[in-house]
Amino acid sequence: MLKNKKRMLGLGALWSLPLLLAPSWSYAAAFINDDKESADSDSEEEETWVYLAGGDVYTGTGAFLRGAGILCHDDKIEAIGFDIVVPEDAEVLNIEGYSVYPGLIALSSRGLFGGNGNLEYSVDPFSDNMLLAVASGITVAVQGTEIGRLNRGRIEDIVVGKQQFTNLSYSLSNPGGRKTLREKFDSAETYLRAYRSWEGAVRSNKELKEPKKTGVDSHALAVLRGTEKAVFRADIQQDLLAISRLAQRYGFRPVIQGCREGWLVAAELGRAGATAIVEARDRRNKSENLVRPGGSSIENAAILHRHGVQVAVAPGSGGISMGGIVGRDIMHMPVEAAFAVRGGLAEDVAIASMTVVPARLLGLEHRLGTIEVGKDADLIITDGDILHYKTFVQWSVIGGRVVYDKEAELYLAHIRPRPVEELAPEVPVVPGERDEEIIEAPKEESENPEEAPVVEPAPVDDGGEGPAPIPEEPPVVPPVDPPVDPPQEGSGDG
Amino acid sequence: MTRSLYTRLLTFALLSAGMTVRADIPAGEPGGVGLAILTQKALVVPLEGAQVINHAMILVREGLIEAVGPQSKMVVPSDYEILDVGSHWICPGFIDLHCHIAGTYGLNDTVYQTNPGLRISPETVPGNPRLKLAVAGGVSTVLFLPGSGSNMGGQGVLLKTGVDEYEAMEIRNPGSLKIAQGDNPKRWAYGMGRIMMAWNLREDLSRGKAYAAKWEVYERDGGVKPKRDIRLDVFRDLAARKTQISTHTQYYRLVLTTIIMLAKEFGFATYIDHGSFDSYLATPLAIDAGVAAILGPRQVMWPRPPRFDTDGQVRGSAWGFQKLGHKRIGFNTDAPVVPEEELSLQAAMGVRYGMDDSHADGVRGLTCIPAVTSGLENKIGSIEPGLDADLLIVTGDPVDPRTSVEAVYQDGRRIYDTQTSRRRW
Amino acid sequence: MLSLTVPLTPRTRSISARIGRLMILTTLLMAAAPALAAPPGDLLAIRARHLMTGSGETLEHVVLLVENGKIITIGEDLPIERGIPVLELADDQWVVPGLVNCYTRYGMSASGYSDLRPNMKAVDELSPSTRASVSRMLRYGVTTAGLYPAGRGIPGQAAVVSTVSGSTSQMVMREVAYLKAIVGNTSTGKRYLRDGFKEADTWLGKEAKNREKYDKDKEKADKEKDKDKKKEMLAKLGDYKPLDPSNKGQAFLDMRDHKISLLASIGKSADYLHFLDALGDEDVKWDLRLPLSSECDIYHVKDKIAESGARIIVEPMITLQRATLRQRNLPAELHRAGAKLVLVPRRDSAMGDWFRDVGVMVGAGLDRDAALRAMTLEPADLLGVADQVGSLEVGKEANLIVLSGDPFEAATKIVAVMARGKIAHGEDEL
Repeated sequence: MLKNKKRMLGLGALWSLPLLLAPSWSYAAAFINDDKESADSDSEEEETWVYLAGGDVYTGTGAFLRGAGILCHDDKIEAIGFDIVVPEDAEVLNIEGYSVYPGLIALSSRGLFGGNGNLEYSVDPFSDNMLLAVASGITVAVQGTEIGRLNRGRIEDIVVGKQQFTNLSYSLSNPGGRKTLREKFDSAETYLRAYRSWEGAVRSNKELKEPKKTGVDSHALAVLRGTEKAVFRADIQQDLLAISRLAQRYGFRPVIQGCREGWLVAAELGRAGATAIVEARDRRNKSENLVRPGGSSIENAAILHRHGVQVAVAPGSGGISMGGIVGRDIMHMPVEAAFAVRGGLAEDVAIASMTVVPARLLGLEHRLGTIEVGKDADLIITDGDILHYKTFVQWSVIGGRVVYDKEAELYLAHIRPRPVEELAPEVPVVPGERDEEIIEAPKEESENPEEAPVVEPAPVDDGGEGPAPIPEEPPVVPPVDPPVDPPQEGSGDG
Repeated sequence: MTRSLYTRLLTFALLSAGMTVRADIPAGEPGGVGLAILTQKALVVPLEGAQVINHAMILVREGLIEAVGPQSKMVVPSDYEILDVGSHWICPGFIDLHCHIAGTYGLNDTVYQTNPGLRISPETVPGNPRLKLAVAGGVSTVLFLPGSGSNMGGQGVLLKTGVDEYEAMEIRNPGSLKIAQGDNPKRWAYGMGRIMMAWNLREDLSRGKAYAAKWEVYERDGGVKPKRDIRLDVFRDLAARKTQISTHTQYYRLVLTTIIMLAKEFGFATYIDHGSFDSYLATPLAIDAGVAAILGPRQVMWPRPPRFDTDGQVRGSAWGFQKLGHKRIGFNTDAPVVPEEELSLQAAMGVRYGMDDSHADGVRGLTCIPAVTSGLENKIGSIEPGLDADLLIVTGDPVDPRTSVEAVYQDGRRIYDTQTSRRRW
Repeated sequence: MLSLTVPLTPRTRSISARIGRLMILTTLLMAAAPALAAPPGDLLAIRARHLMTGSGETLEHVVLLVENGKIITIGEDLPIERGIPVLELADDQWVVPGLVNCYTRYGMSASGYSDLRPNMKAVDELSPSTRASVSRMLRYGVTTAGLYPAGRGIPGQAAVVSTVSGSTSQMVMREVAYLKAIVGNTSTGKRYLRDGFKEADTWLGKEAKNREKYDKDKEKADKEKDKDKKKEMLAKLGDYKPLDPSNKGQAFLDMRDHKISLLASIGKSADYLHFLDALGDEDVKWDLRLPLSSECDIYHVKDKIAESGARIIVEPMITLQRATLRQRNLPAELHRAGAKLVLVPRRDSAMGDWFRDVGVMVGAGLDRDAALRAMTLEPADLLGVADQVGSLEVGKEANLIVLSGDPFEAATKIVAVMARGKIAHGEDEL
């Protein structure tokens, strides 16, 4: 119930207490207490089961399962694999021949939730913008500081949490600002050290007073504690180097938005454990008054990744563009990732840059980003490789519900509609028989090997049909003894 | 084979017979030895016939393509250098018929409402950074155009992108006569409407046609030499079909005007340059009049009833034209609206939003279709004997954004190579 | 007595009984005192060829008996006793109940605020001049109206009036019917609702404390041994005086007690979900109002609305499926899904076009009886006056409209309007 959630948030002050006492927690985003949430939903509604049968599952963990099933229970993934026992009342979706990926996560978005302002009050889960975002494969998006799930048709379970980013600035063009920031970190560090030693000493000496927190910047403290993430917007290499060094000095992992010249200082960024949010198609020449290399590079994402920097890909625009020029907005996240692949990024890393890495940045890796048992059932079912330009999302499962079916919505149903027939071949193949055996049979009759028919594996250059379409399988016929001429006497021509 | 192609081949054969080969000139270039490129897949994309040759061999000599065919049916001539690109593919360099980045931005010198005498060629800045990026994106030929601020912006010029001297860049001047029939020309001076714009166009077209006719008569029969009017010179080329009218036009009724006025009434070679929104509805007339559709930068039309009623569908422009039977569909960027190096993405989006590509239609829209549309089918756009050796070595399907351009040949010269210089795109 | 064509429903049986009794009485009187041949009171009989009751029946050859402003008899093919003045209607004329416009500010001129003011009441706006203006609705066939207060947010409580001109006491049927609340896709709508209930809770808390204090004091006084002192204390204490309810909380308390209902204005499906969320567990009676936009998407939740049993006020307007030119008849869809449909005149048309606009919806597939019910009985039910008006039934006010033809035909006009038994408009026509 949203009312309960408000009370939970209202008790936010109390939340900081366990965090103070357990500074070893790394990033705990102050997301809603989701154990309570799932307990509530279980008690209020009946259980729902959804079974996705026969898809090629790209889990994101390295496992790729062909023809596997995924069982969703309420809003979580219950089982993945083969021979799953499916409850009788489960909704079954046959997705044979289609691929399943984790839902895409948009780190910055505009207008996808229909209303404006606070998600709890103003989300419109029937809006066209949400429909189009879901049609592009996005399942979770960040709007402002709120993380929302594109839960079409419902207003509950939309707010997933708040992004715990703190925007910092550390640029060589602002030495005063840099000094201030360093001082903030220094005082925070001093306080933390004092606090830890007090923690130890107070057990034996109850009289000791807790060290004062006055003058300590709360954001700097949170960054050092790991409860907030430091996000910098920086592009030029000197700034990136400076940030890396700052991060290594004070022991936190920076998040860098933009990171245009990161490819030049990737090693240092990697040592700092940075995460970069890059726009693969960023184009900017280097500053003309510099002699050393600079500017943007299509290989930025690939080089950063090679040096251990986590890469999240963000398209140039966070909104949906309906002007008619396509390929550059939030609806085309895979296109941006494809350009990173062009620059040398491995494809599975490119997919991770839209799924796991954003999940990790938002502190929600335990729930989102990959297809694993126990994680949220946020899945997209596509008609091909998600990085291919022809691929469309056919179905979208969000929070364990099928919220989108391409054929049921007017926008895209007319583009390469799903075939009506079954994808399985109409003529069953008898196990054990293969094409070659049948075709080789007449070869035995004929003495002249050149006359034997040979199946070309790829279309030939004479009157071919264009870049290698999948060759038509010759219809498989059950073996029949070919009518043979009785062998002639004498010479053996067939 | 057309007559001009035959002539080229003959010239080439004669030249090469008498020419001595120099060892310091790279293979494939004029004066060097021949180059044999072996590839897993060559997208030869001729206008008709098989679009693909698997395990192909391409012979390049004197900057031209000498021969192309399957490796099993060809033999590498003795002194040729061999370049085996392995699993990479080869396709022709891309052609963009709507480009504004080959020079400065002095696009709209809209002195009058129609300026057929203006030429954009002086604006060209050879080797500018945007052109360099374009090369890395596989674009080897562009039509550098004036803008659409007036009904006739001037004459565009067809240029090759990869060289640093204007003389080597220019393929044809005038590359086209730019006519704009959209809403942009309404901005001119005090603002005007469609009736005035159409009237003004026809005025100039009539005058131009008459001027061309006078000169034609003079050249054929002699007599009094007509007075030269450099403002109307372009119409001589148009009348002789040596150049075309590239028309900025979109919306159904506007495209109808384009076809009826320019192609049918005045008989000039013309093509649709934009063709967005519901332009595809004019396909039957376009086919009848021989008007090609070069689409971009918008590749789709969103539903916007009641003006653009698509019954809720997102309709691709390429999808629309193809559905109604058009066979000459190409893509452009209108760079910098869409960056020039993303020309292949335009084709990808056209295919994504419904265009059937089972006949390599995506790649054709980047190569042979723009070539034949601009009258350059005997020079560029396909990998066929006698055409310029403008080739791309790509890592896969050229339309796929994941595919990168590893090297670019222009006239047999390797002008971009990711192995020897920094990858630009 | 009655023609065999009339179905024997409990109602007609009672009518039959009543007629029987009447005839016996009259016969006796006539037998006993021929001089008393003149009929009693201001009895009026109306004979009509076609009549729609508003509760789903269409009757032919109907006789309606009206006395003292109420309907005392209605049935098909009834003989009318000699002496009763009869209003004979033409064969092509139809009779329908007087219309109930449950959501209007016709004739009212005040402007409102845009926040939480639930204790404002529309009935307070009824001055002699506004009453006269409000009464002009009669010429459009509207005999009962729900007048809502001006303003946005939660602007206050609506009143129910008869549009017959008169003093406030003659016109006002209910001082308060519903509390209007605008719950749009903004935070303020939801917040006001929640705040309102919070105010009620706060007041209840204060009241409980007050009661507690009184009880304690009383206990103390009771325990006092000294009789005089005890008397003095009890006298001083007096009876329990409840707290004055705060301005903001009372309406919400009344809603919880089901004294008044809540009318929530929503714009789209999302608003409906947000409204339910804002309401939470509160047990109040509520209805919906949906001002239609050209691409309204309420069809997503039409089944949910039907299940809730709430009434939904819509305008008779054809809308479009978003991003297309496909037409949708949302009132018909809502009705078919099982929702209780209420219609009001379109915001962008005159009230005189109400029949015409509803006729368009009927032509586009809205059920006739549902359409008429949506203009008469259903809104009367929403306003809580369905026992008095809204349909042509025995015991209800004689509010009816005489039309020149079928109510939903394009050329039909209003010929006359009767309110509380008196012809209020179109006397000359009859």
